[in-house]
Amino acid sequence: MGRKRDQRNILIGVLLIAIVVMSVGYAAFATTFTIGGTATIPNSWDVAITNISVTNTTGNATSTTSTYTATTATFAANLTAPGDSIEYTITVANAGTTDAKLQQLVPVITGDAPAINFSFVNPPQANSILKSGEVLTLKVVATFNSKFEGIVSPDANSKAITITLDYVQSN
Amino acid sequence: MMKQSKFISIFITIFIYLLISNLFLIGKFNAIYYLWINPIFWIILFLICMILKKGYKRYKNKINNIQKVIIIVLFYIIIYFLLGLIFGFQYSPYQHDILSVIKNIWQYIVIIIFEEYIRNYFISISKNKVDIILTTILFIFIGINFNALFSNINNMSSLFQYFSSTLLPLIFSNALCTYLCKIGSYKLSLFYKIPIELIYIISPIFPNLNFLLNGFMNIILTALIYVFISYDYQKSEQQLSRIKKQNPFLFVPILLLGIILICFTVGVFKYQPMAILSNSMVPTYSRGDIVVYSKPDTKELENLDLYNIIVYRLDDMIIAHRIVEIQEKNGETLYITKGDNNPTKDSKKVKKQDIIGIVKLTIPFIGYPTVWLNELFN
Repeated sequence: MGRKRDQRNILIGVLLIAIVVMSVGYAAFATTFTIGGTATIPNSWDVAITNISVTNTTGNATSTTSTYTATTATFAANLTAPGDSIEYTITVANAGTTDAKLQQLVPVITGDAPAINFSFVNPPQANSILKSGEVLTLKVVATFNSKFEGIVSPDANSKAITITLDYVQSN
Repeated sequence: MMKQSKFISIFITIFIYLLISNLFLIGKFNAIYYLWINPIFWIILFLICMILKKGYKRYKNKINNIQKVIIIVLFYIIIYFLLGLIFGFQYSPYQHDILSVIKNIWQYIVIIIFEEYIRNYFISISKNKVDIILTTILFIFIGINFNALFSNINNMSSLFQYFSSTLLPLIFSNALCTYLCKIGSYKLSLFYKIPIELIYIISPIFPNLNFLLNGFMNIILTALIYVFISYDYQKSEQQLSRIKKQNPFLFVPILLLGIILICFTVGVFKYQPMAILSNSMVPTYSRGDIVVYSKPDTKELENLDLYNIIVYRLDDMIIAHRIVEIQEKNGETLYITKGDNNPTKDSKKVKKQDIIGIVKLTIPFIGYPTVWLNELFN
C-alpha cells in the first residue's frame, strides 16, 4: 500500500512538472501562437451575444444570413437599389457574476457589393462597462449607397459583416 | 437537536436564501451580492455547521483517494489544454493583476470550501437516500446562475446549449461531490473542484472548445473520478467479494471512443456527419439518413465535377444537393444544384466559398434522433 502511495506521489509530481513545462512553454512562445478572441468560461464568466434580429427593413432589402456565437455576430444583407436598408439588433448579455469591460469591437466586412455600407448606431466605446446582469443592444444598419453609380450585378448584391465583441473582466 | 431537524433547518435556510437572492438581491445589489453578501452567508452557515458538527465517519483510504483525484484532475487539465492545439486558443476574460486574482479567488474559490463543508455536513446528518438526493438537488440549484438562465435562453437551441454545456455537467459534478462527501470527506470534493476553478482564474488562455465538447469534457472528468474512486471504495468495503471485479481502466477505451465520436460530430476531422432533414435527394438518401462529407481543400474544390453531391450553406441552412450544371461568370465558377427528388433546379447558384463539403458516404436511418430533435426545436 505504502509503495503504491509513493508511486502515486511520483505520478502527481510528473503531472505537475508537465503543467509547469506547458506554462513555461506558453510564456516562451506566446508571441508566436495565434490566439483569437475571448473565451467563455463556465459558471462564473458569462458575457455573450444572446440574440441577433432584423428590426427594420426598407425597400427590397433582405437578410440572407444571421448567426452568432458567444463573441461574434455575422449577418449578410441583400440590397439592390438606392433606398434599401436593413437594421440588425445584436443583444449582448452579461449574465455572469462580474462586471465586464469592452476591450474591442472589431467589424470585418466580406463580400463584393461596393454599393452596400454598414454603420453602427451609437456603438459602445472601448472600455465601456457592461455590469453584471445588464443587457446591451447594438444596432447595425446596412444601407445601399445612394451615390453609387455603377451597375449592381445580381450575383454581387450581398455583403456580410462579422462583428467581434471582446469583453474582459472590469476591475 | 435531532439530526433530522438540523437537516431540515439548514436545508430551509439555504432554500430561503436562494429564493431571496434570485428574486431580490442579485437583481438589486448584483456586484455587492457576489463580492460580499454571498461569501458572508456561506461563512456564517459554515460556522453554524461547525458548531453543530459531531464526528464524521472515518474512511481509511482517504489519502489514496485524494491522490487519485489529484492525478485525474491533473491529467484532465493537461488534456484540456492540449485540445487547444487542435481547436486553437482564446484569451481569458479575467484580469490577472494580483488584486483581481485575489478578488476572484475570494468570490469563486473560498465559497467552494464553505459550500463543500456544508454539503459534507448535510451528508453526515442525512438519514436516508432521500436526504442525500435532496442535498444533491439543493446544491445543483445553488450552482445554477438563474440570471444567466433567463437572459441567455430565448429559444430551444439556446436551451439545448445551456443544458449540454452547463446544466448536465453541473448535475454530474454535484452528484460526484455528494458521492465523494459520502464515502470520504469534503476534502475529496475540494481536490476535485478547486484546481479546476483555480485554472479558470489564473490561466491567461483557454482552448477554444465547442460548447458540446466543453460539456462533454466536464462529464468525462466526473465519470473518471467516480469510476476510479468507487472501485477502491467498494474494494475497501469488501463489497466486491461476490461481484465480478471491474477494472476501472476498462472504462478508458469507452471514454476515448466518446471523445472521438464527439470530435467527429463537431467537425474536428476532415470527415463530418450531417443528418438529412428532407426527402429532396430520394432515392440517393432520404430523411433520417446520415451523410458523411469531406471538407474539401483547394485542389478538391477545383476538381468538382457534374453530379458530385456537395454540402453548402444557403442563408441559415446547410444543404446537400447534386451539381447539375457548372457556369463560369466573370472568372468565377458558379454551381447549379438540384435535389434528385425535386422537379426543378435550385434557384440560388452556389459559389465556391459557400461549399463546405463533398458527400462521400450515406448511412441510413441513424440520423432520425437529430431529425426529431430539430423538429422539436424548430
